[in-house]
Amino acid sequence: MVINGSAVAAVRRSYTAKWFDSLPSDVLSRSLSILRHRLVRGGTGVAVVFYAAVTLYAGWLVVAAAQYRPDTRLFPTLVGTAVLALVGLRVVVPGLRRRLDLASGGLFDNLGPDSVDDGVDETVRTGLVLFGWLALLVSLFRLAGPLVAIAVVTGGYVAVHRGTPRTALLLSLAVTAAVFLLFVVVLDLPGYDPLLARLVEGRL
Amino acid sequence: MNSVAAQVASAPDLLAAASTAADVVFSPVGVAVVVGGALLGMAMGAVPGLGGPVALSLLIPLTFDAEPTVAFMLMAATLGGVNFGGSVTAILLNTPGTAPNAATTFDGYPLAVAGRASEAIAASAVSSGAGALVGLALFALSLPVLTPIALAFWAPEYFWLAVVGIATIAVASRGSVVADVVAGGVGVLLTFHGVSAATGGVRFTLGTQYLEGGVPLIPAIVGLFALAQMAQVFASGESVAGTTTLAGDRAAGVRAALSRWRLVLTSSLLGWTVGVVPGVGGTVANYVAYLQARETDPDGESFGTGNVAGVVASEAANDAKDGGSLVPTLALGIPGSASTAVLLGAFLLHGLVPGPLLLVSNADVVFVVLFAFVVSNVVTSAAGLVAAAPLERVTRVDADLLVPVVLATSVVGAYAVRGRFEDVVLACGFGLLGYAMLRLDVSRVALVIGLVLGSVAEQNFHRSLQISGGEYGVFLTRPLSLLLVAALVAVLALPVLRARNRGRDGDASSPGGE
Repeated sequence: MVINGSAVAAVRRSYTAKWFDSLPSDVLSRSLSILRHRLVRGGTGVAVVFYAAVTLYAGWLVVAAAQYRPDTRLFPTLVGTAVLALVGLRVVVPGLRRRLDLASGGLFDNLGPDSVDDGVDETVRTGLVLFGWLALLVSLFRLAGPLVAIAVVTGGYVAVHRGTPRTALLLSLAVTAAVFLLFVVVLDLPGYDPLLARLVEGRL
Repeated sequence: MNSVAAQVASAPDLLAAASTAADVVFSPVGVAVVVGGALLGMAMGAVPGLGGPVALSLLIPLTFDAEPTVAFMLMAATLGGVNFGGSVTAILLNTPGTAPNAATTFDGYPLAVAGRASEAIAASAVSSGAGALVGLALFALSLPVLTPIALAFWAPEYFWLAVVGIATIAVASRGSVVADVVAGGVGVLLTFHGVSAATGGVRFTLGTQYLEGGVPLIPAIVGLFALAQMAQVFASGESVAGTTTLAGDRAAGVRAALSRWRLVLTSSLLGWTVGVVPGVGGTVANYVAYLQARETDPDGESFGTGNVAGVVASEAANDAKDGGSLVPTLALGIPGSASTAVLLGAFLLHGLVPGPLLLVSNADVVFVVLFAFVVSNVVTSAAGLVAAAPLERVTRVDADLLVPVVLATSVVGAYAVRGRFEDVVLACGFGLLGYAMLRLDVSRVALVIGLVLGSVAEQNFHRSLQISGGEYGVFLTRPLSLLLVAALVAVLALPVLRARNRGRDGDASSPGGE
């Protein structure tokens, strides 16, 4: 029996071509896409960031626990490992759900997006803008104290978002007065020594 | 003769003490103090970051020089008002005023979004009042047998109870079970910062003094709920109810609560029972009651979308738990909750020693507290019903006006607890986390439950081993422990069984079946 070398080579090329079609770069990009789509609903990066942060936190805790005594590290290690396993489950279960009857009963619902959307989630970005205002509030709190921070940020927020300076001023005064009355007068809020005051008085 | 039997309070003694207490509480001064305390409690419960423990601790210096009975009346009345006040913000803003109001957000907020806020608030007012009355009645009935009840729970039982509480996350999950359990796990992990229950040494402090005290609960709640929710409102650009027509009314809310009297009773009983166990806290009480309501309601599927029964169950349990937490507080001097811990501090400051002999030596004080609670809850419920319609207008307030106000009060509320700026920063961090969880539909209540119960579980685990000399069998030798283990198995099996049943129902209803 004569083996046709060229035919074998052709078959090999055919299989090789198929194999090359699924080379690592394509497999990698497809895997990443699947991973992203399994984690993300609506195509946002929020889920990726959230679960990455949870993984990092739990992972750090488990590693850091190793330095402690066995009884001290028992619970952190157990719970941290369980959290890591659950995050991993969150990623692979959509692939397993077709094999598990449990999934049809809704036990693992909402684990992945129903649709693919690579658009930017405007709501997330807009919601994060509020944290910019919060950062300003906290910074002013640190620099000048709570009442000044509240007065400035409340008024500034309303002025910027509603464009009505009068409303901004009124609301700013009202909120500051209410906070002063409730927290300072009635509840005797602990005094705060702002940075600016310390700077001015040379106590820094 | 000093035997305990000789010192047990007799019925006539208790009746005489009750009569004396009634004269004090229902005097003009007493009524004024109780009504004022109730309204103050409502206001403080509604502000994220305040709530029972903060409200009471801030009242201690104010009442230090007052007559002891006046101080106790004011504190009990304030505590009575806090629970309902917390439910108002839970309903209107999806922000529980106190941690135990968390489960009220599940259905309370959807009702507000649907324009039925006044119905939800009215239902909360009635069920809160009813739950409190049931809880206090159970407390009064249990007076002769207070000590054995409180002593039944040892460290192994506290451990299992905490584990059961954490496991309920899986049952109560409305979205992804796995995601919510991850959230609960993160909450438990957060409790490991600070002093170790096992050795007393500090761990995971990142070299900072701040974390040596652990992660504080109140700034976490302020951030997770108030700040995160305001980010959501900001992003929507609309008021809470948007353009929805206001459709609910108070009468509907009252009818909803009254027609579900069996639910109120069972939820109150659950809340009271959980409240009896020291340290477990109200967060678990209303969560468990919510779960049982959902599992037993014919329309359980609608829970989480605006079923008023969810509000009724949660708030009835939330208020009944205070009656339960008075059991260990007054009978053993062991605080049943954070709020009663502060109340206990007030007792000690005024020279009163809680314990088994309190009913013998100061039964009138016990009844003063009891009656003040009753009157406070009635006042609070009435005030809630009157204020339901005006309060509903909060859901119409423009986002650009609502957001800065809530932001300001939340930030100050986070600071007010311990007077530490770092708590404000922590609240902001939790705000970011809470916003991400909100966007991903991951339960923030699950994280709070983990944060509340994680340390309880670990502490009692190590305490049990210390008691038993390292023998792990201590967790499975007592009948109450075995009962709790059975409850844990049932709680964990429930979602699996439910999933299988749904799967079978789905197969049966599909054409041809499989």
